[in-house]
Amino acid sequence: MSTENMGVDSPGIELNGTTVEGVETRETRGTREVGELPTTPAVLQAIHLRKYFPLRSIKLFGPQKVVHAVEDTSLALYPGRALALVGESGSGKTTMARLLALLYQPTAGTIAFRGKPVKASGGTALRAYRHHVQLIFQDPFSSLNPVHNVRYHLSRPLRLHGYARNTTEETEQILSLLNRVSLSPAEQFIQKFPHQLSGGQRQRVAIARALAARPEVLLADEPVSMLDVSIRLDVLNLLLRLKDEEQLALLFITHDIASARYFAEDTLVMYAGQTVEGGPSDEVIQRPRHPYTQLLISAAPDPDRLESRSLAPTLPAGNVGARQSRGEIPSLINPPTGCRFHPRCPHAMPVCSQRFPKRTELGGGHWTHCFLYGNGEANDASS
Amino acid sequence: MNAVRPENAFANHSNTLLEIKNISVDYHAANGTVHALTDVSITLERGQILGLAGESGSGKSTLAYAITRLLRPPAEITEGQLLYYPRPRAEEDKGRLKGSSRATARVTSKSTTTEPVEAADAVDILQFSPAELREFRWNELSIVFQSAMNALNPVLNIGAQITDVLRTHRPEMGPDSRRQRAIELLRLVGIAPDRIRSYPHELSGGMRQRAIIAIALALSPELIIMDEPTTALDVVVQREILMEIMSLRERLNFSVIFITHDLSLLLEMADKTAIMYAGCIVEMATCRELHQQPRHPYSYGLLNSFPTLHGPRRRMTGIPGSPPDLRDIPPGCAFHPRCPMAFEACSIHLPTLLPSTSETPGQLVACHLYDPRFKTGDIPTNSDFATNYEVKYLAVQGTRKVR
Repeated sequence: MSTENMGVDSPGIELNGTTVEGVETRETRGTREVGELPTTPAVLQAIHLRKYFPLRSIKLFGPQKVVHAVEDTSLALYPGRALALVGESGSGKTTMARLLALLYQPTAGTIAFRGKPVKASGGTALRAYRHHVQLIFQDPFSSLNPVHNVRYHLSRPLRLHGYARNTTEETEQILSLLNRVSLSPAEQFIQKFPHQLSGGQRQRVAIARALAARPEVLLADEPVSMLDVSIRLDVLNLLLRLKDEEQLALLFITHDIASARYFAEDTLVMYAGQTVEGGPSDEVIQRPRHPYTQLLISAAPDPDRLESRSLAPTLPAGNVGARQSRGEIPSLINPPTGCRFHPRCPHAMPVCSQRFPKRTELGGGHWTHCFLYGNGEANDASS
Repeated sequence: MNAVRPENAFANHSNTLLEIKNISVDYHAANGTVHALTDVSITLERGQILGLAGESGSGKSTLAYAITRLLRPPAEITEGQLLYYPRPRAEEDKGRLKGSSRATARVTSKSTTTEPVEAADAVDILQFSPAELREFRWNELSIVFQSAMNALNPVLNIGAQITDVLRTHRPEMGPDSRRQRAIELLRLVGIAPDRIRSYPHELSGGMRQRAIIAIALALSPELIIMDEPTTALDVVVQREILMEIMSLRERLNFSVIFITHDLSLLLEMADKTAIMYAGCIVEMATCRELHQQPRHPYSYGLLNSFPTLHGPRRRMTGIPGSPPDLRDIPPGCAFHPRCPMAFEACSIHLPTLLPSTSETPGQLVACHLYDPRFKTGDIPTNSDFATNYEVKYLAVQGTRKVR
């Protein structure tokens, strides 16, 4: 299948003119982007993104029910920087990743790649987009095809994106990819099947497959949660290294707020489809403002609590939040009105159930959506 | 069944509940024998929470299955003893385990409710006949499985699944009292009693986990084995379930063997933690000792595999390499190929579990670094571990680059 010119013709996506060359190497890309500061324009942006999943309704003429999976979420990814998206399951993290990968069509809002809105209608434009934006799935046990070997998995993106035209080129690039993800000796791994690999090795193959398209944006959907503890750091460090070496823009989705701090420069906390807090990771995690972020952090395992408490094995009663916030993420079919956290929030006020608080800037890039900080009225008027 | 158990009735007797003695388990695979457990010994006290931590493949779950005798061929318990010290129970329970005549370690057979239990009263779980095993399981020991989400039957409501246990083990109970007990159990674990008719798919992950714990508690066992009970749950729900387990343990005074790979979680809740590697226990200590100063290099590596919420952000190296093939465990200490502190003796001699230092006699470690026969000089500290891990990490990175 000839795909070489597809990307160039695609509407709304600029290709830099370098991507279809099979001879382009990492080094040339590295020099092209190495001078850019983290404050360069965002490579991928989500602007007021919404996603509703329609439900099949039993009533023929009743109102159409929808799952409000993502509400009004904006984020930006910068080259060489990682953004962590933190939240419980059902908070819309994975939906966000899939929206950004154009696996779902957003209900409202725009996705902008290098400042230009992406219209992904039709295979050509979609393929051109995937050229730049790749997704790593959570489960390396199901994201690789069990009947194909590593060579096949890695050769598909190379062929489809036109980097390899013959078997020699293909082998050469596959070997270099395997070396980049620290699967050595690469010559042995190339012919292995997924069942012959451990979880960590499979995830490395999945990462290599994503890298094969030479993307600028990598969306990692819980890349280490299915892996063994001692392997996790290895894979995280690999992603960190790739981020630095190749100036990748990374979206790191996780439920483990501690690894968000370790991995990402910026953190965004989601709850039930709404973003509640964001900013530089250390700011957000050391000085959490939103009650939900505080709850998440108090619930995370933290051996250092042993030191601060005299009664060693007692679990901390937590802050006020931990006890009162019993319960789980609400139904997103009929989500709570206003701030969706208010039924569990220890500080809930009447206004919380009426409308969703506007964004309050807390300084230093740290912001939150909470009526506890800043005047809800003033924010409302400004909108 | 929930009567307060008289603690002072056997105050003169040691508080041991279960003694795992030199257990070894092999899996006979077609391409070689997998030594899943090698010579594991642990003593568990009543009311204690024992944590088992380690990577997958370190033998944590195999140990749990060995204790419950759930291992099937090709697995085989090649040696060892599992001594269980039954507590004298109320009149109706008597004769359950006391009647077992094939238990080799058992000597006396006469005991009344008030008579203190002698150490000789221990029964060996491995010698149980199928009938005795059926009595033992769930009455004395229950297990919460790893994938609790799938452990419930999807076509039965949770009430039926709880009463199923009671119907099997308490045939004298009528349907009404079974239902009463089921409602009581649901309340105990924090599920509203009106959910008794709910099917598993109608419950959230956390509620399903609570239902499983309710089933495990149904017969008030002495020991509950929890095999990664919260792995599939969110942090907030996980914390709730753990708090539930802790408060239930305080009320009902059962012991827990808590298996997890999340060491930081274990440190917060367990009384004692055993760290396993390649089928052996490499370190056993209280959580405080382990947190302040892990002695085994593997324990240090495992502890430092978890990013922290506080403190400086620094590069974490994890543990280089991957776990050994259990068909072919490296000679000497199984950890030595990955160990940053390894020296000559490590690849020759098999370390045994010994007290690490004179200051911490309770902290047992299987490492030659603490054995004066092999190593003299200073005992390594956290910073020594950190430096050596860093060096090893860079070395590994370096070789990768060269290739």
